[in-house]
Amino acid sequence: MPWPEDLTLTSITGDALESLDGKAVLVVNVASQCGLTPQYEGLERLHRRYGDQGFSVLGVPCNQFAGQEPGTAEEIQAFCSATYGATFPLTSKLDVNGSRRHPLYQWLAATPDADGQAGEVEWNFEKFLVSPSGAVVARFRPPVEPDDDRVIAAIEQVLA
Amino acid sequence: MGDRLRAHNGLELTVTRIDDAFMGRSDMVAFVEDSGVQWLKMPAFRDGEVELVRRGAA
Repeated sequence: MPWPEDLTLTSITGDALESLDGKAVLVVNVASQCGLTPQYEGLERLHRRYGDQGFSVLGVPCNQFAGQEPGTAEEIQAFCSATYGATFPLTSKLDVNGSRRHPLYQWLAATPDADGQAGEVEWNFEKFLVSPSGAVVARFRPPVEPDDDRVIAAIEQVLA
Repeated sequence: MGDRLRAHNGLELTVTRIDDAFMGRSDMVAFVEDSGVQWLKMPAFRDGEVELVRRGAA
Protein backbone atom coordinates (compact mmCIF):
# COMPACT_ATOMS: atom_id res chain seq x y z
CA MET A 1 0.00 0.00 0.00
CA PRO A 2 1.58 3.27 -1.06
CA TRP A 3 1.68 6.48 0.89
CA PRO A 4 -1.73 8.25 1.00
CA GLU A 5 -2.66 9.49 -2.45
CA ASP A 6 -3.57 12.97 -1.29
CA LEU A 7 -0.08 13.65 0.03
CA THR A 8 1.68 16.46 -1.73
CA LEU A 9 5.17 17.05 -0.44
CA THR A 10 7.44 19.78 -1.64
CA SER A 11 11.16 19.72 -1.21
CA ILE A 12 12.80 22.48 0.77
CA THR A 13 14.22 23.70 -2.55
CA GLY A 14 10.70 24.27 -3.81
CA ASP A 15 10.87 21.45 -6.32
CA ALA A 16 8.85 18.26 -6.18
CA LEU A 17 10.17 15.90 -3.55
CA GLU A 18 12.03 12.90 -4.93
CA SER A 19 9.89 9.78 -5.05
CA LEU A 20 10.10 7.62 -1.95
CA ASP A 21 7.84 4.89 -3.32
CA GLY A 22 9.17 1.45 -2.52
CA LYS A 23 11.64 2.74 0.04
CA ALA A 24 11.73 2.39 3.77
CA VAL A 25 11.59 5.93 5.12
CA LEU A 26 12.34 7.35 8.57
CA VAL A 27 10.30 10.55 8.75
CA VAL A 28 11.63 13.00 11.32
CA ASN A 29 10.40 16.50 12.20
CA VAL A 30 13.56 18.55 12.56
CA ALA A 31 14.63 21.90 13.95
CA SER A 32 17.89 23.81 13.84
CA GLN A 33 17.84 25.39 17.30
CA CYS A 34 16.83 22.47 19.50
CA GLY A 35 18.87 20.65 22.10
CA LEU A 36 18.24 17.55 20.04
CA THR A 37 19.55 19.10 16.81
CA PRO A 38 22.78 17.05 17.05
CA GLN A 39 20.60 14.06 16.16
CA TYR A 40 21.22 15.21 12.59
CA GLU A 41 24.54 13.38 12.81
CA GLY A 42 22.91 10.07 13.62
CA LEU A 43 20.22 10.59 11.01
CA GLU A 44 22.86 11.18 8.36
CA ARG A 45 24.70 8.03 9.47
CA LEU A 46 21.51 6.00 9.06
CA HIS A 47 20.87 7.53 5.66
CA ARG A 48 24.33 6.63 4.43
CA ARG A 49 24.46 3.21 6.09
CA TYR A 50 21.20 1.93 4.64
CA GLY A 51 20.76 4.17 1.61
CA ASP A 52 21.87 1.59 -0.90
CA GLN A 53 19.41 -0.91 0.57
CA GLY A 54 16.32 1.12 -0.27
CA PHE A 55 16.15 3.36 2.78
CA SER A 56 15.95 7.10 3.23
CA VAL A 57 15.63 9.57 6.02
CA LEU A 58 13.11 12.33 5.31
CA GLY A 59 13.51 15.49 7.36
CA VAL A 60 10.47 17.71 7.93
CA PRO A 61 11.40 21.17 9.22
CA CYS A 62 8.81 22.43 11.69
CA ASN A 63 8.64 25.62 13.75
CA GLN A 64 5.89 24.62 16.15
CA PHE A 65 8.07 23.63 19.08
CA ALA A 66 9.24 26.81 20.81
CA GLY A 67 9.92 28.34 17.41
CA GLN A 68 13.16 26.41 17.05
CA GLU A 69 13.07 26.31 13.26
CA PRO A 70 12.58 29.99 12.41
CA GLY A 71 14.82 30.17 9.35
CA THR A 72 14.00 30.41 5.69
CA ALA A 73 14.26 27.38 3.46
CA GLU A 74 17.66 28.57 2.30
CA GLU A 75 18.89 29.08 5.84
CA ILE A 76 17.68 25.66 6.93
CA GLN A 77 19.31 23.96 3.96
CA ALA A 78 22.57 25.77 4.48
CA PHE A 79 22.61 24.96 8.20
CA CYS A 80 21.95 21.26 7.69
CA SER A 81 24.51 20.92 4.98
CA ALA A 82 27.27 23.01 6.52
CA THR A 83 26.88 21.92 10.13
CA TYR A 84 26.05 18.25 9.75
CA GLY A 85 26.77 17.40 6.13
CA ALA A 86 23.19 16.20 5.83
CA THR A 87 22.37 14.70 2.45
CA PHE A 88 18.93 13.28 3.13
CA PRO A 89 15.93 15.02 1.63
CA LEU A 90 14.10 17.76 3.48
CA THR A 91 10.56 18.90 2.87
CA SER A 92 9.39 22.48 2.99
CA LYS A 93 8.53 23.67 6.49
CA LEU A 94 5.28 22.06 7.68
CA ASP A 95 2.88 21.96 10.61
CA VAL A 96 2.89 18.57 12.30
CA ASN A 97 0.20 19.34 14.92
CA GLY A 98 -2.95 21.42 15.09
CA SER A 99 -5.65 22.50 12.70
CA ARG A 100 -3.18 23.12 9.87
CA ARG A 101 -1.36 19.85 10.34
CA HIS A 102 -0.09 18.52 7.03
CA PRO A 103 -1.86 15.37 5.74
CA LEU A 104 1.47 13.54 6.09
CA TYR A 105 1.24 13.94 9.84
CA GLN A 106 -2.49 13.27 9.98
CA TRP A 107 -1.48 9.89 8.60
CA LEU A 108 1.64 9.33 10.67
CA ALA A 109 0.30 10.54 14.02
CA ALA A 110 -2.39 7.86 14.11
CA THR A 111 0.37 5.33 14.76
CA PRO A 112 1.02 4.53 18.43
CA ASP A 113 4.44 4.41 20.01
CA ALA A 114 5.76 1.43 21.97
CA ASP A 115 3.67 2.53 24.97
CA GLY A 116 0.52 2.57 22.88
CA GLN A 117 0.26 6.34 22.71
CA ALA A 118 -0.82 7.87 19.39
CA GLY A 119 -1.79 11.45 18.59
CA GLU A 120 0.23 14.66 18.66
CA VAL A 121 3.90 14.80 17.90
CA GLU A 122 5.58 15.52 21.22
CA TRP A 123 8.59 17.64 20.24
CA ASN A 124 11.30 18.03 17.61
CA PHE A 125 12.93 14.85 16.28
CA GLU A 126 10.05 12.46 16.70
CA LYS A 127 10.54 9.58 14.28
CA PHE A 128 8.17 7.44 12.23
CA LEU A 129 9.36 4.45 10.23
CA VAL A 130 7.44 3.70 7.04
CA SER A 131 8.01 0.35 5.35
CA PRO A 132 8.65 -0.06 1.62
CA SER A 133 5.05 -1.14 1.23
CA GLY A 134 3.84 2.11 2.81
CA ALA A 135 2.88 0.90 6.30
CA VAL A 136 3.80 3.01 9.33
CA VAL A 137 5.51 0.32 11.38
CA ALA A 138 7.14 2.17 14.24
CA ARG A 139 7.11 5.44 16.13
CA PHE A 140 9.96 6.68 18.28
CA ARG A 141 9.65 9.67 20.61
CA PRO A 142 12.19 12.51 20.41
CA PRO A 143 14.70 11.32 23.04
CA VAL A 144 15.28 8.06 21.11
CA GLU A 145 18.53 8.57 19.26
CA PRO A 146 18.75 7.66 15.57
CA ASP A 147 21.29 4.94 16.29
CA ASP A 148 19.34 3.46 19.16
CA ASP A 149 19.15 -0.34 18.97
CA ARG A 150 15.38 -0.12 18.65
CA VAL A 151 15.59 2.11 15.59
CA ILE A 152 18.29 0.01 13.97
CA ALA A 153 16.33 -3.20 14.58
CA ALA A 154 13.16 -1.73 13.11
CA ILE A 155 14.96 -0.48 10.00
CA GLU A 156 16.75 -3.76 9.43
CA GLN A 157 13.50 -5.65 9.87
CA VAL A 158 11.70 -3.71 7.15
CA LEU A 159 14.68 -4.00 4.83
CA ALA A 160 15.01 -7.75 5.32
CA MET B 1 -5.73 29.14 30.83
CA GLY B 2 -6.24 31.86 28.27
CA ASP B 3 -3.19 33.79 29.43
CA ARG B 4 -0.99 35.15 26.67
CA LEU B 5 2.68 34.46 27.23
CA ARG B 6 5.85 35.60 25.49
CA ALA B 7 8.85 33.34 25.15
CA HIS B 8 12.46 34.51 25.33
CA ASN B 9 12.68 34.45 21.56
CA GLY B 10 9.72 36.78 21.25
CA LEU B 11 7.15 34.19 20.24
CA GLU B 12 3.76 34.60 21.87
CA LEU B 13 1.05 32.07 22.56
CA THR B 14 -2.34 32.06 24.20
CA VAL B 15 -2.44 29.11 26.55
CA THR B 16 -5.18 26.61 25.75
CA ARG B 17 -3.53 23.68 27.50
CA ILE B 18 -0.75 22.96 29.98
CA ASP B 19 1.01 19.62 29.60
CA ASP B 20 2.56 18.12 32.68
CA ALA B 21 6.04 16.56 32.79
CA PHE B 22 7.44 17.90 29.53
CA MET B 23 9.53 15.14 27.90
CA GLY B 24 9.14 13.10 31.06
CA ARG B 25 10.71 15.75 33.27
CA SER B 26 8.86 16.32 36.52
CA ASP B 27 10.45 19.78 36.84
CA MET B 28 8.99 21.01 33.55
CA VAL B 29 5.63 21.73 31.99
CA ALA B 30 4.69 22.80 28.48
CA PHE B 31 2.32 25.57 27.52
CA VAL B 32 0.38 24.83 24.35
CA GLU B 33 -1.71 27.00 22.10
CA ASP B 34 -3.98 24.81 19.98
CA SER B 35 -6.19 27.27 18.18
CA GLY B 36 -7.25 28.32 14.73
CA VAL B 37 -4.39 30.81 14.78
CA GLN B 38 -1.54 28.47 15.57
CA TRP B 39 -0.40 25.33 17.28
CA LEU B 40 2.67 26.15 19.35
CA LYS B 41 4.30 24.41 22.26
CA MET B 42 6.57 26.16 24.73
CA PRO B 43 8.26 24.34 27.64
CA ALA B 44 8.99 26.00 30.95
CA PHE B 45 10.42 25.04 34.30
CA ARG B 46 7.69 24.38 36.83
CA ASP B 47 9.22 26.88 39.26
CA GLY B 48 10.42 29.27 36.57
CA GLU B 49 9.08 32.58 35.40
CA VAL B 50 7.30 33.33 32.17
CA GLU B 51 6.53 36.70 30.66
CA LEU B 52 2.84 37.45 30.86
CA VAL B 53 1.62 39.58 27.98
CA ARG B 54 -2.04 39.54 28.90
CA ARG B 55 -4.07 37.76 31.53
CA GLY B 56 -6.81 35.55 30.18
CA ALA B 57 -10.44 36.03 31.07
CA ALA B 58 -11.25 34.73 34.54
